[in-house]
Amino acid sequence: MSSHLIIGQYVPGHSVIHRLDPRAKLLIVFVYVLIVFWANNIPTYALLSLFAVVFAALSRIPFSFIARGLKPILWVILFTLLLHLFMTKEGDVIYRIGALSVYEGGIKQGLFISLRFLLLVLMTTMLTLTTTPIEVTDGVESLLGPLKKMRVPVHELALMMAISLRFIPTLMEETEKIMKAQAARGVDFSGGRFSERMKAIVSLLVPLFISSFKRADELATAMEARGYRGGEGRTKFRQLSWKAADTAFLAAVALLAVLLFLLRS
Amino acid sequence: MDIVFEKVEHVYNARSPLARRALYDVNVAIRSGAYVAIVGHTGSGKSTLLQHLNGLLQPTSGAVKIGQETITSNKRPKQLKPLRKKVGIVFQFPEHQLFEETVEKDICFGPLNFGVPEEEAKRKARELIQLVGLSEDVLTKSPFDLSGGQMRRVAIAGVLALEPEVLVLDEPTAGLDPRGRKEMMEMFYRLHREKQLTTVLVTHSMEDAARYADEIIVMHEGTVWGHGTPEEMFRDADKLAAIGLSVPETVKLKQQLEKRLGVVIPSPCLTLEQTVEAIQQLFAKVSAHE
Amino acid sequence: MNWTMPFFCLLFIGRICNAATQGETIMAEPILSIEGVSFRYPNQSDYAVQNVSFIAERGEWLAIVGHNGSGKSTIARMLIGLLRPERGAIRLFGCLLDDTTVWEVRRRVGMVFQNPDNQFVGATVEDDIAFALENNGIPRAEMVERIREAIRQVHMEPFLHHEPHRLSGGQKQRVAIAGILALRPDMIILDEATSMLDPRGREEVLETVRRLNCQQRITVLSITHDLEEAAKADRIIVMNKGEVMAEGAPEHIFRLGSKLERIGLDLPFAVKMGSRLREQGIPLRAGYFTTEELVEELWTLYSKK
Ligand SMILES: Nc1ncnc2c1ncn2[C@@H]1O[C@H](COP(=O)(O)OP(=O)(O)OP(=O)(O)O)[C@@H](O)[C@H]1O
Ligand SMILES: Nc1ncnc2c1ncn2[C@@H]1O[C@H](COP(=O)(O)OP(=O)(O)OP(=O)(O)O)[C@@H](O)[C@H]1O
Ligand SMILES: [Mg+2]
Ligand SMILES: [Mg+2]
Repeated sequence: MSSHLIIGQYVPGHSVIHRLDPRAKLLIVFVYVLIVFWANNIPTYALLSLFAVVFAALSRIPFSFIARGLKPILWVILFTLLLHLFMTKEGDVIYRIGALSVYEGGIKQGLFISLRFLLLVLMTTMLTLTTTPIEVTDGVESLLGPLKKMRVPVHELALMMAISLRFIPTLMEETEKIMKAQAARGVDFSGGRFSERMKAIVSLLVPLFISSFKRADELATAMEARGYRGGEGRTKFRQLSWKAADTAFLAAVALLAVLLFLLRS
Repeated sequence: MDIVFEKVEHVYNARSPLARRALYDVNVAIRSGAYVAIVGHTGSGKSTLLQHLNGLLQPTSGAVKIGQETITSNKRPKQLKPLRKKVGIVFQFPEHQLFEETVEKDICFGPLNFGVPEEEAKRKARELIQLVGLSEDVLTKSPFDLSGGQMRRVAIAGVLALEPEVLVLDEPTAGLDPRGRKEMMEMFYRLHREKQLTTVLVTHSMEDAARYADEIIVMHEGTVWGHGTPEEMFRDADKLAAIGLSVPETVKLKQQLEKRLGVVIPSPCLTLEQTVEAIQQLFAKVSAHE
Repeated sequence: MNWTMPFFCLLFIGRICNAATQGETIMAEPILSIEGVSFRYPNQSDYAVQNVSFIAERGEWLAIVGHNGSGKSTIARMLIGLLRPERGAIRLFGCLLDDTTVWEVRRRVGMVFQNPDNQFVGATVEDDIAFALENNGIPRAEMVERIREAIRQVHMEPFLHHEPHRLSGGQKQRVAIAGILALRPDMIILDEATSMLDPRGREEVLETVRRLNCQQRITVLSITHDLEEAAKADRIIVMNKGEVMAEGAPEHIFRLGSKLERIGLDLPFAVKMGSRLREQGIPLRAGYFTTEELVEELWTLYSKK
């Protein structure tokens, strides 16, 4: 037994954001991601940032935890910033290092683009931090429901996604076990020559594939034994419920969109 | 190689919201050449303890001394490689680690990693395959064409090929039928004696612990609850029951007999043979009195 | 003594039911009957199961034992139509098992597999229990009711919203049983369902199944390597190399003694002990199965002296 793995990055909680209908959250994030690209001046970026910060604060997830999640993309942001700093040649020259000059437009562009990127990642992270993967799956299945009429196998796709999610912790555990077993036989996963590394990877992947196939096989058998025969005639246990808060948040993001549209230059 | 745990603590995911203390205040010594069984109910930290024996895990505080080596929280894994050769671990369901095309290659995999010449490794593979009770023609087969029990033997041979001084076994017989289980336990015992190994066995079978081990370490909720000879550890069935463990069937029988008959049976009754003998003596004494 | 009340009520009800069914038809059909079944896996020359026949009565606890590879799982798979016998017939609840009856059979016969991880489909305990209900098109309102009932029967109420990786092996197996109970089955097949569990987990699962077997007269077919468990069954079937080697009540089977050991099986502790003592000249009667009974017998002998 291991209770140490968290699927995705979900942080359990009971905040307003946690309790939102996953469909609402998916829509909010979707709209937000679209309108981020409208922003092009200080007021619009300020509004977007305000929304994201309030959203994050309402989730009651410690800021340090969110920040840790954002750390890996810091380098990307820094890189974009530098790129824009030196490549954009607009407005007055502010600073000069040898042949390179930094323009006012460069700074502005660099900051804006980095901020845009940061906001995008922040909002999508908020989705995964406050919604269990299975809720996301339910939300997606429900939102894509209309596609069933067009013979898109929405149910099968959703089930596949749900089962993969269910098995992520199991596979991670398995990976760790195999790595340890091979390390005990002298495999060094952290370095070595190229050929040694390849061997190390093979010694991990082959057993992992074999056990995954076996799992998949046993799981399929178990599902069949429990009467699974496709989506036809199936009822559904999980239900989503749309509440007033969901409408309110969706309205807020709509308002944000309108304001953004009016304030952009 | 003596092994000494000094104030060992292990916290998984230390310094994170998911931190979980799996071991604390573990002070225990395993002397060279001993056969030690570790028992304890699920989640008590047995597997975590084992992985400290060859540096797969490092203590988050305290120290583990294995022969000349000392592992503490700030030792790098690179420096641990020599240790891995001296301490071989057979994990639960070891057949899950097989991956080569042939049995021979899989057995040689470990030794080659430690720089043993190929010829020598192959010679060893031939020797070991018989030692684990399989015939030599298995060597050229793919490990995945073998039955579950055979695969497990091959995997065990792969660990023995490292010629470890300490052999660590984590529930090695799970899922086997009774005969397979018995044969495997006898095999480990034979190896223990013939190669003068230090053997550490994690098991849920109190019968195996009583039969084979010189000493038993009882784990409970992350720390050592008791440590002593099987006779000492199985003396108090009620205390063991309180932490979810039982005594071997033979000891149960002895204790019930003592109670029902109102006698004292001097023998510890750790194996079937001992128990038969003890009961025989009991009846002989009565006959003698008449 | 009010805790014994339900027990007596059940005994009483059991009596009535028994009487009723007996009155109804003398030739009450067995709940399961297998006649001359053989099976071979594709591209294999050897039969995995050969000419196997046996029956199970309603409410019976039937144990199947046998060495690794003796064909036990293959039989179990045929019983719920996951494999189709090459020869022979399988009858369940009086109907021949075929393509038209297989779904009904899967509703009435639940199977628990060996590996707790590889049969847990849902994201949480309640989702997993719901899975079979969803497959059978049970309306949601009824599902909630049945899930609550099933989880209660396996004593897992506090874990309703837990994810599988936060459960122990024994708990996962109990969830699997709850998933079966929700369908109100007539029969449960355990295919080495406890072999990957620690002793406590094993006892939890067996205790649960025993209760269901007693109280609801659910027929149990348990495939196991644990002879102590088999000793508590009503009847044992011994498999050897794909064939039935012996069949009968535990006391009958364990009289085979060393014959069982020769085909890779073991004997329960008390039986083994009894026979060793007899060999040493202690005049015990043959066939004891629990340590308690053995102690009683030894006491009788001892006090006679
Ligand atoms: N990789 C890991 N990350 C985080 N926690 C872990 C990890 N492995 C084990 N644990 C936790 O540490 C504790 C001790 O686990 P361990 O595996 O050592 O127990 P065990 O005695 O071997 O149990 P079992 O008999 O079930 O094998 C448990 O509470 C477990 O959940
Ligand atoms: N998918 C398969 N393809 C080919 N042969 C198989 C397959 N599954 C099992 N067999 C073979 O059929 C025989 C019976 O296997 P089965 O799994 O029924 O045994 P079992 O009694 O359940 O054994 P265990 O105690 O190991 O679970 C064995 O010889 C096995 O190798
Ligand atoms: Mg363990
Ligand atoms: Mg089987």
